[in-house]
Amino acid sequence: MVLTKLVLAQFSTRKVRTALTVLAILFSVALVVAVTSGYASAQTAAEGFLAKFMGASDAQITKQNDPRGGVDEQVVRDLRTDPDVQSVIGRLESESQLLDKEGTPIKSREAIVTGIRRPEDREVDQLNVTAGKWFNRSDGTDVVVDQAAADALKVKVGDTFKLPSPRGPLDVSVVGIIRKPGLLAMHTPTIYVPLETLQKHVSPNNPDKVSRASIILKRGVDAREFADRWKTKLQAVDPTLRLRLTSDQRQEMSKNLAGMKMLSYLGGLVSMVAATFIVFSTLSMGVTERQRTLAMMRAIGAVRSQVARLVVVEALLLSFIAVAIGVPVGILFVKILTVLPRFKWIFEETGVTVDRGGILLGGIGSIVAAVLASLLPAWQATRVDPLAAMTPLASPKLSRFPTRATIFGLILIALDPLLLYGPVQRVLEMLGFTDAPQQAKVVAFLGHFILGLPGVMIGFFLLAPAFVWTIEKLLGPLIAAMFGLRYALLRQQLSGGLWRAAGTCASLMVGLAILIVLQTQGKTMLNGWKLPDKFPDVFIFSPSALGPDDQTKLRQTPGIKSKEVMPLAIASPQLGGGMFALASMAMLPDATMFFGMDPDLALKMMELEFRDNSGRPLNRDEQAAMVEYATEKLKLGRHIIVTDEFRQLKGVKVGDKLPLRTSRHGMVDYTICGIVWSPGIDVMASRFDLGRQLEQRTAASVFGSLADIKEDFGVTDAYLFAANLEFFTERDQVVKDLRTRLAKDNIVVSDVRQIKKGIQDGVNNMLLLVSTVAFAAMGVASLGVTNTIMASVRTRRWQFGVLRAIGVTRSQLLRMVVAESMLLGIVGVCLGIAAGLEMAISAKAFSQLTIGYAPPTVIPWGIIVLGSAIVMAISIVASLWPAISTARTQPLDLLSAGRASA
Amino acid sequence: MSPLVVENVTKNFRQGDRDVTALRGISLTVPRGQFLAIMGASGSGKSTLLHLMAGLTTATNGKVLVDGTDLTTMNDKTLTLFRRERIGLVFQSFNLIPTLSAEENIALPLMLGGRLTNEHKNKIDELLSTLGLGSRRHHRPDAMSGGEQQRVAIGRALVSDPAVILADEPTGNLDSANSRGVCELLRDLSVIHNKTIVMVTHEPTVAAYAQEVAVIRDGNLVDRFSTEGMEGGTGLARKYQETLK
Repeated sequence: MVLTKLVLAQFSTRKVRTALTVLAILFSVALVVAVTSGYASAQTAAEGFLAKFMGASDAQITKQNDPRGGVDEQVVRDLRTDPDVQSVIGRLESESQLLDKEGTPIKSREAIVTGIRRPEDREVDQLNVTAGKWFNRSDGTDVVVDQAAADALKVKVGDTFKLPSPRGPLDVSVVGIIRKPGLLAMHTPTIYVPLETLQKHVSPNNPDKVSRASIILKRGVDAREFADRWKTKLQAVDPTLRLRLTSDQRQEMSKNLAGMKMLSYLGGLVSMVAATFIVFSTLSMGVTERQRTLAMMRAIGAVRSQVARLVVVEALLLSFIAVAIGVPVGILFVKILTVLPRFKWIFEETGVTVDRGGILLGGIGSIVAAVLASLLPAWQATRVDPLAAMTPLASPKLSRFPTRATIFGLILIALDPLLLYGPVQRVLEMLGFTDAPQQAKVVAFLGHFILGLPGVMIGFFLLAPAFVWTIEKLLGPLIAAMFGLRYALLRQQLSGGLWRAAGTCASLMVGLAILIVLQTQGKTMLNGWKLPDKFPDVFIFSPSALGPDDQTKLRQTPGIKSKEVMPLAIASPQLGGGMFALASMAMLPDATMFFGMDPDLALKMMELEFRDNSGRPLNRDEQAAMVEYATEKLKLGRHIIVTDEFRQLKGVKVGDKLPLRTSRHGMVDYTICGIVWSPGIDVMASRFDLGRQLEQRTAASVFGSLADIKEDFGVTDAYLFAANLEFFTERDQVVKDLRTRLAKDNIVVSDVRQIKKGIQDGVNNMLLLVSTVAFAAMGVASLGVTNTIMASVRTRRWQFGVLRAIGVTRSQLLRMVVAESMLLGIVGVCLGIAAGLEMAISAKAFSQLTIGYAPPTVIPWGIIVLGSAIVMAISIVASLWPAISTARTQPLDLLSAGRASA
Repeated sequence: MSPLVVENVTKNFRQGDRDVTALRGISLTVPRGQFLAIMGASGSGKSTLLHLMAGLTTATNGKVLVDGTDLTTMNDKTLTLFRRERIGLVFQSFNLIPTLSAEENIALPLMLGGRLTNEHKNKIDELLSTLGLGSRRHHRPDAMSGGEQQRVAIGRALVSDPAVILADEPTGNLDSANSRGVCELLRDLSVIHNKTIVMVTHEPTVAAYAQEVAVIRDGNLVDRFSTEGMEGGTGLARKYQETLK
């Protein structure tokens, strides 16, 4: 009771400091709640729609490696005769460019056109019809569009529009408009067309096909058993057909979503770490300022534990207040997003989903963090000598180098590199572990999160006093000179309150360190993807397959070099036998992308950079010999070229056999005939094949021949082509000509460099988005700097009064305070860079451990400079208010205020 | 049994790069109800002796017995609890908690021991009345004069009914009128309420309120005499000067 009273008394005496500290915790709690609830809302919206869309079906059959078509409707009919099956729906899905009323393509608007058989297909009845009604036939030209398509086409019920098809535009009439959650509609506008109409128009020569068969099983049927039974049957009908249970797909999706959810949690935690250091700083200041009170309490009979509890209770109360306000503020923030036009679409269907996990994390996390932050100040409080109460004025302690904290700090920051780079395996072997290599990976993985990362944060925090002490001594004279001050006036201003300054610098460190590690990882990954000097000029993508005749027409299109058109066939086989699976973690992707290409053409059109078995580039002669060797082997069949990432990922070398699960011949051994530096073709292709990316996690790609992909994977159709253009050819003209010659209005021709730029821009934007976490932490830290400077000024009011009395000018006083803050900023920057670089180095080893691949690290010096400048600006701006208000105070007021607080 | 006995106490400590012997084998007994003033020049060791009596620091050699309990053998926690219950401390700079009222400041040692009982509350009321602070009980230190603040501090020292009250320059921060008030209060506590009080001071006018004066020079107890018959501060000052010669 008395402790709470004393804490509340402290709060009322230090109102601004309490408010700033509560604000820092509050901000981090609100951020955690807002980010996690925002993400949960988006996830609920997506899952809600997916449940409507595919929720009722228990299994789906699609053609493996060809998501766009190819399940014979006979399969659907056969399934309907199965006694376990309640119903089967066949749908045909196609992508299409949208045309306006004049038949001109609407730029950047592609839609999914779904052929459905009505009235049998009742799944769509669950969708919200906002105007008109569903058509009830499987032929005819009546269509239903979603709101996104209706907006893009500017149509309403009763209107007609043109739908591109191989036979030329098809006139269709809108009979209904449905409303999908904005989240999905924005991504893919959808047009529902009668199935037979779409079949005739997409694939006139082979109309009896659907893209997927959705199966609903009878109640009580064992889905797994049904799947096993039908997998055998399908193997006999068409080995390329694949049956997947919806539960498996959901699990896969959940796996991906769980990763993103974890990221959203981690994002919020970063600010919490910064807030923790601010709480530490505040409590440290409180202990320093209340030396006399604490000493008196000890003298009149307060035991050490009571004094310690005083500090812990202060931390608890601060965090309780912040959590009580921060949680509703976080929810309010998400609610505000729901009315902002830019974000409204995420929430329109399912509203805000408050993530309880996020609230628990924000609430309990903040309280735990505050208690942790209070431990050292509490210990410091117990060390207060009761004798200090007997002396009229407390004598300042001389600042000494914080040796013990530095040693502990160094040990802690060494933990992460030791776990990731150290001889963990050898130690485990010595301890007699039978599966030491595997166990070493588990130890490194878990150790990184449990010990390594917290070790880096706490370690650098413990090193902060040493940084403060050293930098003050080294740069103090320089900063003093910069501000036109005598160094004597600056000396020991920071090191006099070493831990207070350390806490603030540590909070400044967090944002910068996170910014550096995120940007370093991002840039490193981007840099690992360089286009060879010689690379196809364009990629041509057709939503429907191009047969031999169409491919001839494509080659003969003016502007395209006829001999330099290369079809790319893609399969995604699973890797064999789990031979590379990382036991107990399942972190490695289980599938790869197999690119089938013409060996002669591919190696002629792309100047690949071959590497040796250790990843070193080959010299010119070796390159030439390798090209010849690889071409020859690829032509022989059952040979593949792998990327250097793949080599690192799987630990393979030229000549190794790689078992791949093929759709037509089961497990087949492919021999590696070359290792190349990432040619980027896989990244390019993935731009046109996003559906597959969502369904399967694919590892780095491998490159084989067209003959192999046809023979082993049953991929006969080509949708994607790499081509070179004649000089001075205009891409738009080529697109126009291609569309006319092939009668396909939805052909897309993309410039390789533009695609690369698009991808890079996308990654950079994403990096920027993720980096907001770091900027938020910096924002939180600014509150800490203001707090520290204010406390620092407050404790020296008497000293400032004396200085002003003996002739120090207002401007000099102001410069003194700002210079001190600048020193704080410099320490924060040094700590941030050091922590960020260490984490980036650890991230490289972690990347090697988890995905098996770590490209050479690229340090984004520009971003580091920018981040450092932001930290410096925060430090200086945050000091202005305390500096100006002190400078404006009359000397007598400073003297009397200082004496009163002494 | 005397409430305060100091036996052959020596205190050495290090100050910067030199060793200092603050007390050189001092022995002293304070009978119950006595008001003893300890005088000495700056650096003589008088404050160090008071700190040792309060258990705020430990003796290099010798014993300090309060109510028969040797402070030098106690661990920190036992010593702290003992101090809370058996020793009352009055500081030169009052050391009140600015955000607590007079009543709460007085009650602080009891509050540290747990909840306040009715008996405690009655005791506080009685103390407020004895100290002449009845009308100031809800006032905070910043609303009180220096003399009133020191009276609150004395109340805090008395609240747990200690064996001995130790006051370190209690009038050092007060003007003469308030000094006189505090000195009279301490004397009354000793004479009327039979409280054992040891006060460190360098002012003869203040020491004159005590029953006896112990003079310390260079860590040695050089004299101990009664103030009876002396003409207030002037006579005591003369005697003190003679002792130091």
